[in-house]
Amino acid sequence: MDQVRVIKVKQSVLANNDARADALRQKLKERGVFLVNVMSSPGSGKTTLLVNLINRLKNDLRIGVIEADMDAIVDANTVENKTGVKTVQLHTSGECHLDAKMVDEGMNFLGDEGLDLVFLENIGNLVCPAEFDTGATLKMVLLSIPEGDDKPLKYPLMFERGDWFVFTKMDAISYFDFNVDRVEASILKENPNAKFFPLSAKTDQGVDRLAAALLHEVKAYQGKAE
Amino acid sequence: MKLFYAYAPEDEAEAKSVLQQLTKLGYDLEKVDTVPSDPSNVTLAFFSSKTNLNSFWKALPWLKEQKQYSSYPFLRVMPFFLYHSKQEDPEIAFEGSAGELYEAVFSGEFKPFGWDFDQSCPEAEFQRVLNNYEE
Repeated sequence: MDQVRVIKVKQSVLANNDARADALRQKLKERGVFLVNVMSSPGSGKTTLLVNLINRLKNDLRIGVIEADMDAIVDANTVENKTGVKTVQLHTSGECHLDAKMVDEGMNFLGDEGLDLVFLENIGNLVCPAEFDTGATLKMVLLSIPEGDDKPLKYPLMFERGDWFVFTKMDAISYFDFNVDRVEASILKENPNAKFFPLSAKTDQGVDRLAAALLHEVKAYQGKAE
Repeated sequence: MKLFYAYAPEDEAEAKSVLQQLTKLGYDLEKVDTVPSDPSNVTLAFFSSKTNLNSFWKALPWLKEQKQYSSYPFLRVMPFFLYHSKQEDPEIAFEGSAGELYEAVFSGEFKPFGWDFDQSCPEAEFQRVLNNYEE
């Protein structure tokens, strides 16, 4: 396997992030590329879930991955080695989030021609990434069981702005005081269109459902829904 | 909503074009010659790649004083960059004279808002960025 390509990206000099995000979203729509912004705390299982999901979907969809980190390359190597899909690594030079300009640069390096689905693994952080529109079609927020069920109260913006909420490490739920119903009710209060996917990428519990939902969403976006 | 504004002579034509659009949106606009009469209102400081730093300081002497002595602690100034995206990439512009002016004049606390004359409705983005100053 070739070494993953690393690109150093800088924030836009301007404050006009939303306009740039809208332009990127429009460009991706014209090309039929569905971009998923995956956000969570560090250690919630983003990379493990992506590997599992990609291996289920790669026969049906042409997939690419943009990994973002302040400095490391370990996640990008893991994803590329375990899935074989094209992956680029963005280094943000210490910034705690991605903006639309950075993602646009990442898409250019990835080369989105011919891709159906691109996963953007954002920096592990529940604060800054919520504030910046990346141009993604779908915002997927991961919350792992060991983190506790009070996160929507502590980081409301992330849980107000997300689209799909994935509860990871469900295999560990008997060891923690995590009430799924309570979390869902808390999120729905501020975000009535939220969808929930409790799963364990380790035991595969619930991953099929998320993969099927994502496949359906991509096909619908491309006007190919069955 | 009341807004103050100021610009150097070389940016007058483009700044006035923006001001016309903002007036249509209902903003109450007042030019600042000496110092904003109410520093709690946002002041739009127009500049572009062609702005000369000396003429900018002449147009906004109170801002130079603010930078040196912080005599208006609640002053809120929005760096307002005027450009045409079909002719100029702001990322490149800020590697040159626009970036030099921005670094010389502004604290860096707020990124400049860019008014793109080649965009169909830059006012929507302006209102979003302005909200950040209101929070």
